[in-house]
Amino acid sequence: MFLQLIISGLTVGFLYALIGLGFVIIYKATSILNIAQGEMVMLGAFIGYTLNLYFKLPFPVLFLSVFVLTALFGILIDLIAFRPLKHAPESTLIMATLAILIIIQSGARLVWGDDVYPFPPVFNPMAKRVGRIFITPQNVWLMVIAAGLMTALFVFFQFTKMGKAMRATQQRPETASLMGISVKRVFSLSWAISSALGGVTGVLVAPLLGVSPSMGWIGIKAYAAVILGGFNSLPGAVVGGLSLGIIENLAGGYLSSAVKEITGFFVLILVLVIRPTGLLGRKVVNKV
Amino acid sequence: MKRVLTIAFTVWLLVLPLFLGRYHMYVVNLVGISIILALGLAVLTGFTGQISLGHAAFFGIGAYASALLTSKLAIPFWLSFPLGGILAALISLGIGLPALRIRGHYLALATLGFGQIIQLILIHWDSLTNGPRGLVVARPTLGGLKFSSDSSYYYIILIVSAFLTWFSWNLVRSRIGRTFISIRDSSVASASLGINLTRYKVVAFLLSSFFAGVAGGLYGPLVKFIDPLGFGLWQSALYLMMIVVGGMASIPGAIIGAVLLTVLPEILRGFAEYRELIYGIALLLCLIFIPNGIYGLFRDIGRKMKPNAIVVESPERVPSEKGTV
Repeated sequence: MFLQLIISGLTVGFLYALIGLGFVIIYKATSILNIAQGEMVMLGAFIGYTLNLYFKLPFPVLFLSVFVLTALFGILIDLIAFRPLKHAPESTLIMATLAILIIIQSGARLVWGDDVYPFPPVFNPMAKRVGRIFITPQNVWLMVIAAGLMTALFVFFQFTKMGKAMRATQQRPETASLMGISVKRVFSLSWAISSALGGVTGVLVAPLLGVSPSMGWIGIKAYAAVILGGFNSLPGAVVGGLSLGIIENLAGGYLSSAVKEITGFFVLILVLVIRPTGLLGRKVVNKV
Repeated sequence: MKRVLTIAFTVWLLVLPLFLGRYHMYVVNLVGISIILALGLAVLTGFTGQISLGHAAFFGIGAYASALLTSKLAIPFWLSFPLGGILAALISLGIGLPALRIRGHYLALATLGFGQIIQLILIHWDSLTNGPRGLVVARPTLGGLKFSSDSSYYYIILIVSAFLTWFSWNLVRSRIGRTFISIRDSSVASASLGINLTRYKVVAFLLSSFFAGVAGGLYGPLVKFIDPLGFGLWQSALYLMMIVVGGMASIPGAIIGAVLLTVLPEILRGFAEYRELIYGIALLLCLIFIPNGIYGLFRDIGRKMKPNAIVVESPERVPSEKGTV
């Protein structure tokens, strides 16, 4: 039972990690606390659902289309909302992401109604017995794809020129712009990558949860995972996501499903009390 | 002149029920409750610069606590609605203390989660809250007086909201209010002046939760029926919109926003389907184009007309340069 709970917790954990990564990328680059990240997941799921319904695209093509479309949407958000708010205080920026959350969610509700649409499983959802535990190929594929995305992200940030420019901007925007890096472009790219990550997470999560305008709630749990891992750390988002997925599933398995729903919040409060920087986060020193 | 206007306005407020029908009185009562909520958020967000995305939860705690204290423990309404506010404030400590200790906007994320949790608890704690079926709330009585009509209940709401407006008006002009503003504008500078950041931020959060709880306690008897769906993220967002639209860092702004966003949906009934979308877009546009809200807009126009006037109050926010604080 214990091992089984951990394995199925890991699946959800990978989803939290992907959402959390999108959140941290935005936060590190632009210091915007984006509470609308969960809505990107919903939007990606709906785009995937629609493409699947009308064009019956093969999965890799579908996956790429959602990636590109949500990336473009992310750039749009940056251009419309956050470029004009460049000098706004942090609290205004948070409220702007709240506005975006409301716009995307109510827009989706107007277009698709309040129903839950079933998303046909891409991979075999039937459980197979491996040793003493049951694993579904669907969950294995989900974890493989998520891990692949994380590796690609790591390679991008570590080895490509643009990735290095983004890291430089994260550290010191002024210096980076003096070195000839277009900070504006870095901001747009951050929005693109983060939205695309959210979008493809939506495609991955859709066969498990179904597609509905209110599915963005998964984002709220992912934020707890981000705080657990460390607000300003990309590896932290991964570690936090995986840990929260497992902790939550253990709480659900040994206590009750109602407790499972609120585990994330108690983890969040506990982290803030014991170790506010999270597992892997670094302390930010206040400077004038 | 100012005195005459104040007296005229007070008289107008007192005789208002004579001229308005039942439905209009109901809307006016809703406005009073929104004003209490918006004032609390103005203190927290407008003046102290912290964001709560779960204020509907405190509103809900106040509404449920007050209703349950009256129906289960037979505590009179006069005690139960302030107790609802106090309970909301006590619970806010549990989130505020851990989340406000640290620099950064942890409060936004913590309250976002908290709002969801409270809604879940209201739905699942069936034996206490009657779950998704909701609670029927009775109108209060005092001695032989029964406040069963909307125009008599109006006076209770009027007294409470007027008192809380007076209280916040004085609070933001006091030493504590100025401390809030200094924390918002530069936490580092405030800390170096010996201000205990955590303490003041927690006080602001505590006050705004108390306001929300009191508003909730008044809301139950007004609508006579409460259920968990009325206290979700959308409502929390709506209260934030009030202060953004009206003007974040000002008491009149909060009142303007509360009046507008409570009355407008009643007028625009035909667009109910598009309401959330319209509000979302309006919020974004306000943040971009009128960061000081409608009140700020008029104040700026007024100042331009009188260029030599000495500006005494300056509660509005100076845009901070990124990376300097």
